[in-house]
Formats: sequence, structure tokens, C-alpha cells
Amino acid sequence: MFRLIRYFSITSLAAFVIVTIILGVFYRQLAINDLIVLGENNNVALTQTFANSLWPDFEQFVMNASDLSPEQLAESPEIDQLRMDVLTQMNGLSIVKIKVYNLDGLTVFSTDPTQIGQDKSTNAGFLSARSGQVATELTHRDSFSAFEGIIENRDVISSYVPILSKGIIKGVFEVYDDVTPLLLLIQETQRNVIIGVTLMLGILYAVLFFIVRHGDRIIQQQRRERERVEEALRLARDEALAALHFKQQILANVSHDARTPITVITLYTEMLQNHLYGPVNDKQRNALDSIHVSTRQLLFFFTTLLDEAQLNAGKVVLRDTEFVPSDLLKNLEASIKPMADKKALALNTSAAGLPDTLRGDPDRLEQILLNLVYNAIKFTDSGTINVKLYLSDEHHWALSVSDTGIGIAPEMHERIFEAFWQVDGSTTRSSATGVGLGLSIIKQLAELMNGKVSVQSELGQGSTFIVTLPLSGKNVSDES
Amino acid sequence: MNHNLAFIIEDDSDLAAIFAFILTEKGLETEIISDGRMAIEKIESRLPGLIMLDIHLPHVSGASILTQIRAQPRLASIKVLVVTADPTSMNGIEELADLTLLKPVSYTQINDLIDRLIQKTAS
Repeated sequence: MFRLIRYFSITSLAAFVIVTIILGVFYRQLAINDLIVLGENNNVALTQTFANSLWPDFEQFVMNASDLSPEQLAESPEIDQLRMDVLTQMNGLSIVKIKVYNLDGLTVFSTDPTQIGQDKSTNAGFLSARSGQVATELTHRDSFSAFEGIIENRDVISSYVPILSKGIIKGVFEVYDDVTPLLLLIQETQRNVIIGVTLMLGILYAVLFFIVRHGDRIIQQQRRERERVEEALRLARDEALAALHFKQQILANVSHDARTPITVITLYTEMLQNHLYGPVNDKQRNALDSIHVSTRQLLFFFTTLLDEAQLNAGKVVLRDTEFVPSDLLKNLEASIKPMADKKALALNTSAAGLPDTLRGDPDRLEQILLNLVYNAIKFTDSGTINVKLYLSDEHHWALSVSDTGIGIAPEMHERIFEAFWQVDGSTTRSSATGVGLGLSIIKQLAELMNGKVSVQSELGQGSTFIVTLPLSGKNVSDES
Repeated sequence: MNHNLAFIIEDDSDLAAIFAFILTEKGLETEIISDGRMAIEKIESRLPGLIMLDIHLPHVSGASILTQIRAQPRLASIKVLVVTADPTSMNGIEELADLTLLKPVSYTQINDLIDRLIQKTAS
């Protein structure tokens, strides 16, 4: 898990440390470079002084020194004189050693007498000075023979400087300048610089740290909050799903369990109506008709609710079986004729021109017919309801239910198939009951069967509902 | 096989009584079996010509009774009329029943269909 504070602490700490070190090193390097330049300037100046004052006296001697052997050189009086003059000149300065070379590279003079006579003709520094270019370097000497004896642990800037007399190089001067205190100063300053920078960066770091920690806290808080919300949403969703499932279970169970008792009621009612238990007088017949009609409505109600729930859940499975079209009409009449009779409406059915058997789900088709005729009865006060099953074209058959009822305005033709839509009939009859789901279910079922439903109607002119279905049953999908 | 005998395998006694009434009207002898566990045994012993079968039985599913009937050559030719409240309960075994009806059924419907079945048996 990404923690801002941790990330910040580590990376900025590392950055600050690196910056401090770099600054320290950088400062030291710059300071030393400056020191070397200044040291070189000093040495050059000194050389010039020497050239101006002492050189003329010794020029001849130095130029001819190559003719002498090193021992002769070391013992010559000119050397002594030179030493004395040099010491006088160097008095009080930080110079610790001087050497003089002639143009051949012979060490004509050195404040360390043992070095007199040495050959430096191949030394790079000498050669550089001989050609006019000063050569300087800063070195640390663990032990060094200065003219006052051996000194130890010193930092020395040494330069090979050309001796110029009237603009002409006559020899090479080598000067050793003790800069140990200066170097110590640089070191001390470097330490101070590092301390100062560390302090400043430390303060910066502390400030930033508190800011970042605060920010980090806020981030963590928001993250926790979001997790809480997500958890709550998950719970709510699970509860909702469970409730939905529960509801669907209940609907399914209720609808299922209700069917058997309803079957008993309808069968006994029918059998009584058919005089199977003896003659029936008019009053009894009316009573039985009412029972039958109400039972059908009750069944209707259950079936509609269950269908809507199942369709919503995508759980409707259509049967695919052979059935006899005229059987559909027979069952339809048996179920719904009493209702039509009660309103004194004529019910005509026909299945002309259809093959003897068709493929599909006869129970669902029965349901569709019942729904349509039920609606037709509901919205028709007098006249006829015609139910026709017929071949609509080469690959389709259709069922149509037409009535002489109040009709439906063309603007409403689309909307009536929406769930819970109730055509708010202008009729004053309070018999316009019903759940309002019927047409929506018909549409969904028809579409599941790869068919479609349509309506032809005008206000006051009755309505005709037509459901067109493929002949080969529900698995036709892309045919025709 | 006893063509004059019809079994009614249904746990609701009211409904079973109605089915028995209808069948008796047609001149058939009837026996009501309300516990599905005894069904196969009784069928094997009395060999009815027609069975009205409910799917939603306690203890044993009507679907399994149906498959058992068809699995035995002795019983395979018995006419079976399934009456069920749940259309999906016959998924996959549609062909095993001679006819399937969805509750609630109308008196006329049952009458016609049973007549048809009986006629088929006779011929």
C-alpha cells in the first residue's frame, strides 16, 4: 500500500544527503582550485622578484654551470653566496624550498644541497617552464626536506617558473610554497558549509515532513471513508438482491400453490354448471357463473404477477411442442365465455386455413388469448368479440382479437404495451379493473416467441390486436 | 394391462376426487394414490391403462415416476396424462407424457383429452 509519508521521508532524505555531500565536495574543489591559482601567482611573482634582484649577479655562473661537475658545483663559492641571498629574500615567507635549473636541466642550486647537480632535463614540469609555460601542482608531502630541516605532513604548492631577463628565458626556477594552514582553513570552511547546509535542509525537511504527514493522514482518512462507503454499498446491494430473490421465490411459490385449489374451484363450478350434480335453477346458475368468472380473474391475477416477475428475472422458458390450434380456441371459450355472456357480448372464434397442428407453447398462447379477450370484454359494452387464428403469410401465422369497444387513440398505441399502463378509459364504468400488466406481458411473450404484437384502433371504433408468430415454433430466429 | 383401470396420482384429495369423478363417468375403475412412494409398486401390480399424474408430489417427484414408468417395457405403453401447476417441471421429459396439461384445467378440456387418450388405447 502506498504511503505518501514513507515515500517522502526516504526519497527526500536521500536527496538532501546527496545534495549536502555534493555541495561540500563542490565547495572544497572550487576553493582548492582557487588556492592553486593564487599559489601559482605567488610563485610567479616571487620568481620575478628573484629575476629582478638576484639573477643578474648569478646569470653567468648558472649559464656555465654545466661545465662543472656536481661536486665542483656544490663547493663553489657562488653557490654559498646564492644561498645566503636566497635565504635573506625568503625570510618570513612561507616558501620552504627553492631550486634553480639552467637551460640544460641541471640543478644548479637547491636549498637542499644534496640535490645540486641532479639532472631534471626530462622532467615534465621543467620542460614546460623551459618553453615558457608555468607548471604548478598541489601535493601532500609526508616528509619534506626544507631548508630548515625535514618537515613532515605538509601540503605544498610547487611551481616550475621560467626565469625571464629582458623577456628571454634564461633558466627555470622551482618554488615550493607551504600552504598547509590555508588548506586547513579550506577544510574548516568546508565543514562549516556542510553544517550550515545540513541545518537549513534539516529545517526544510522538518517543515515538509509535517506538511506531508498531514496530507498523508488526510489521504488515509479518505481511503478509510471510501472503503466504509463501498462496504455499505456492497451490503445494501446484497440485501437488495436477497430481497428481490426472496420476493421472486414467494411469488413463484404462491402462484404455484394457488393453482391446485383454483383448479378444484373451477372444476366443481363447471361440473355443477353442467348439471353433473343435478339440475340447476337460474339463480344457482347465476351464482355459479359469478364464481367461475371471479375465479378466472383470480387465476389471471396470479399468473400475471408471476409472469412479470419471471420475465423480469429472465426466467421464462417456453415450451416447444405440437398442439392443435382449435384446442386453443376451445379452452379459451371454456374459460372466458361466461364473462362475455355476463356482459351480453357475442364471442366468435375461428381457426380457418391453419394446419392441423402447430409448434409452440400452447399454455402461453392460451394466456395471450385470454389476456386479449379479457381486455376486449373489459372495454366493450356491447357488440361482438372476434377471435381469429389464421395464416398471415408463407412463414407466419397470427391470432387476432377484435372488439367493438371504446377503442384506443393512435397516440396511445405504443404506450399501452408499457408495464403498469392503464388506459384511463373515458368510460365511467368502474369495472375497469385489472393489474395493467397484461399487454406488457403479451408483448414480452410474443417477442420471446420471435413474434410481434400490433394494434389497430381508433377512439370509438373498437380495437383489433394481432399477434404474428413464426410457423416453425420458437427456434426460428433468423429464418425467413 | 387393464384398460378399464385408471390411476390418479395426486396429493390434493379434492382434486383427486374430481378426477376420479370424471373418469368414473366414463366407465373407468379408478384408484387414487396420494403418496408417490407407493406409485411404482402399485402400477406394477395392477397395470392400469391410464394414469393421471401430478408432478408436484411430496416425497417423490412426479417426473421421476414418469421416467421410471417409461423405463420398464411392461409399463411403457400405459397412457400418461400429466397435470401440473408448473410449466417448467416437464422440461426435458415432455415426450415421456402422452399429454401435459397446465393447472388449472377446465372440465371440458380434461373430458376431451381423456376421451382422446382412451380412443387411442382402444385402437
